[in-house]
Amino acid sequence: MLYFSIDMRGGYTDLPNSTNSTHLNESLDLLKVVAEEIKRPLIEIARASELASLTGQSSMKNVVTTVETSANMALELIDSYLLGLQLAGQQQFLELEPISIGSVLYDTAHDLDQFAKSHNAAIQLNFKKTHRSVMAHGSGLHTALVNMGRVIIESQAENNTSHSIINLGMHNYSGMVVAGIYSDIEPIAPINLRAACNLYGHSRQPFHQLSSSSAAGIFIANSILQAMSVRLRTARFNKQAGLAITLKPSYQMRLV
Amino acid sequence: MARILVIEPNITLAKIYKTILVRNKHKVWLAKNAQEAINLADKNKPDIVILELQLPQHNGLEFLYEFRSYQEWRNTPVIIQSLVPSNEFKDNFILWHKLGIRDYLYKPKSTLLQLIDCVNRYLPQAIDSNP
Repeated sequence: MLYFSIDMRGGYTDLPNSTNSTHLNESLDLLKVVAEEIKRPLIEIARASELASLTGQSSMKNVVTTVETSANMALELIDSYLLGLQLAGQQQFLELEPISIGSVLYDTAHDLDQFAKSHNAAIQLNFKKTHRSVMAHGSGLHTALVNMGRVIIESQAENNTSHSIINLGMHNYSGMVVAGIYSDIEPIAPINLRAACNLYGHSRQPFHQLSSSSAAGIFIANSILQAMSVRLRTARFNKQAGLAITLKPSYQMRLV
Repeated sequence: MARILVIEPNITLAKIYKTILVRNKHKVWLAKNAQEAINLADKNKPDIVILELQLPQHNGLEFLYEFRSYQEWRNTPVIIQSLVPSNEFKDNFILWHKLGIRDYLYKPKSTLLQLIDCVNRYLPQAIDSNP
């Protein structure tokens, strides 16, 4: 059997083995969920523009900020997808380094803040000042957390009527460092996460318990984390439920 | 004037729909999920329902089954305004008819004016079914 991949010039190249084919299928599945997700902010922009032309600028005040935030998040989604592809391509040579998980969580909170506000939520950092350092790919970890956070924020906005607190937390567990994003929405069961990971690319709503969207952020985060040999999982923290990553601590920076 | 229940999980789009419908002198309630929609429908007795099929937890069709199970909402016009293209339901026209879906707008291709047209088209029917 011949395997094909579409090269950047639009032609086809023979692939020698099925590993490449599997990788291609995964990339295409991911591309499908990203495409579904990108439709949403584009529709928002199109309808907001139409509203402005129909009613004048006055009615736009309510929506213009959220549209801008959505557009920015859509651009970030595309960048994240590309980063995931890039990391998957260099998986064997991926450079993991000791990084401060506290500063990654801080940056993530900063990036999600506006998005959370536009979805009637607030971001809260929840970890002790004694920052642990972990072995990870810095921008990969940050991108994965931002994408996970975006799905959790959208999900709580769809399921809660009141103002919500989204916690970015870190704790130690069995000598490992667990960093995650937690909210008050219904606990996300591990079985649902596994099912969603099997369904994406084949279903419009692979994680229907969590989100009305294609939840592309979760699968992009998962692809980035897989490239770092880290597993995405469900977790509970301070009576909240969410998505978390278990990371290997690094002791190098303790000397600093 | 109609009493309209918009079931839309996307906050920005929900605000846009509400703005344009209110400008057209309709009274609008927004629901983000099926449960909220049932509660709001119970409280406010809508004349028309605008529904997204992709909802968190219970999807739009599950909502419709529940909604239609109440006698008072048997004939309330429901307009689908969804991210799901209608051709994905090509084998389900009988089901559509059974569930009383009056019109189907595919979100990426339908404008706000089309939505207003659609609401106005089913308005007399809506008022008759909910005197």
